[in-house]
Amino acid sequence: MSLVELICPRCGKGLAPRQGQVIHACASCGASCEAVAGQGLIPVARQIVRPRIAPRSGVSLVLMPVWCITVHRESLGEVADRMAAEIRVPATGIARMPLLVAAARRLTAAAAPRENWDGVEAIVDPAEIDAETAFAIAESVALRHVTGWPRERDLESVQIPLGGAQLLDWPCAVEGTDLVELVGGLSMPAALGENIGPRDQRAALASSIKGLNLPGKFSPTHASS
Amino acid sequence: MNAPSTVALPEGMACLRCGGGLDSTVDESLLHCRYCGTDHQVLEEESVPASMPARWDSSRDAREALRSHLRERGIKKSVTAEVDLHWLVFWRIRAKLVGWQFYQKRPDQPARSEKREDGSERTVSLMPAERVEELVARDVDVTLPGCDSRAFDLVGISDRVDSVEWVPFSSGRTGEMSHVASVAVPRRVALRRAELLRKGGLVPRGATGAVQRLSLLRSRSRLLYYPVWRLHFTVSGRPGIANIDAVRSKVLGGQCVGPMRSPAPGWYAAAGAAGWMAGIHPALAAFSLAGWVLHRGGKGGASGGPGDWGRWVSEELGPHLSRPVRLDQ
Repeated sequence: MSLVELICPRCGKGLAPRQGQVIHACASCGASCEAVAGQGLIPVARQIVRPRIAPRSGVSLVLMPVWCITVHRESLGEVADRMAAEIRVPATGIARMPLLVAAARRLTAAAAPRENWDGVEAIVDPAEIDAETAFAIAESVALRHVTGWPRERDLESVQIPLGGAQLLDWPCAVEGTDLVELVGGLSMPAALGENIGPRDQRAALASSIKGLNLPGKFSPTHASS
Repeated sequence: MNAPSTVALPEGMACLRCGGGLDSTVDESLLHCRYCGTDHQVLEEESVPASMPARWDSSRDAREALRSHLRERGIKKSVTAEVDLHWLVFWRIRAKLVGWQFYQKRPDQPARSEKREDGSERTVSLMPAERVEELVARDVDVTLPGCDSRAFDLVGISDRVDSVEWVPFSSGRTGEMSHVASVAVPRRVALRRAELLRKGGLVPRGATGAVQRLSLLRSRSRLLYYPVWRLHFTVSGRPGIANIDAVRSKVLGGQCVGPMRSPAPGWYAAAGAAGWMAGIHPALAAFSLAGWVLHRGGKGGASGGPGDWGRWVSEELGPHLSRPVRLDQ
């Protein structure tokens, strides 16, 4: 057993973790890191996803951490063209596994094209799922992504060719009990993020969102009232 | 900038920043320094954290629990000869189980009887079995024995784990005369058992042809040391043994030999009265008297010759018969 001091490696502030948190995010400088035995806190690279839909006025805007795991479809033979190119697993909501897996299946099935949103300064939130757990969930999602595949007798033995994992911050609007992701417009239960309590990013992202000229209206001033 | 630091933990945990004491939080993997407020994360490697209850009952409480338990079973007098505290070890495995399972299940429908040509009946189900494909995403929280706890009448402690306040295990707190059980079930085996236990419960009753592909995620294992008092005692000179839950002061099990009321005095009286009525009372009265004498001799514990006969009479016809008493709940 070893002990890791939870002090931000970049700015030296305390990381103030919450229960179940495995990827820490510094509330001061935005650095993200993970505790690894024998190595202490190691940085975790994150990338914000560019929204394609403007959030409605008056709703909170959050960045939900999501693991994206690539699938080497070319080695899947007959189902290669029907398998998802990447499996998207929300990195929060570990206490609500059925919701989490259902959300991962829907996010993956929607397959909304995504692109990085560079040059955006936002303080991201911590995550409850590490890459190892995300891989296991991704495998389960991939196993039944294609209808009727694998066959029942192959279920126990089939190998899912998963590639690398990347932690993304997915823009979402909080609408009541729903979390509407702003890339494909998919709705997920907001309860997924309740333990992390994702911060409202309206003020931080206002100018960046306006610069995107997205369809729909977005008014951060109205929203904050 | 502060360099992240990791240290192997000795028995006492201390803040890496100020050396102060660390308090546990709701999340067992997070510790908070009560002096400088720095948070720490505990990482499991080869060694496993171990816990013990913050408090447990004294041997006096255990004796009292036994006395009260015996009184409820009609045993008023007992003498405790020896008291030992045993620390039994359990694995607590917490994890997530994710994956898929297929199975065949017949819809709930009453079967009907059909007559064959030869007049006999056969049961026919109207609906064919249907194939069920199910996504599994569940929590695993099981407590499994890490030693032979059955010998102490304690199969599991799942029902009491959450009601006990656990603190880090320290061999210095277990008591001088206590016996700490060795971990006889390796962690890997415990994890596998937890997985199988949980997997087994996933397929509904009556389902057939189950195929599963499940992964155990984020497994966290912890050793729980649970105290049990073992009391050696005697009832009317005969030995007994009792195992007592040292946290809840309840008798878990054990056995002894206890007395039981016998109808023998009534038989002696009836024999005397019948002899009087039949006019052969001197013979029956003599027989009754001889029986009584032998009975007294048997109770006195003499062995061989008439003493053995007396013991037999004492056991079979005496006013008190001994009987085995099981001390389970």
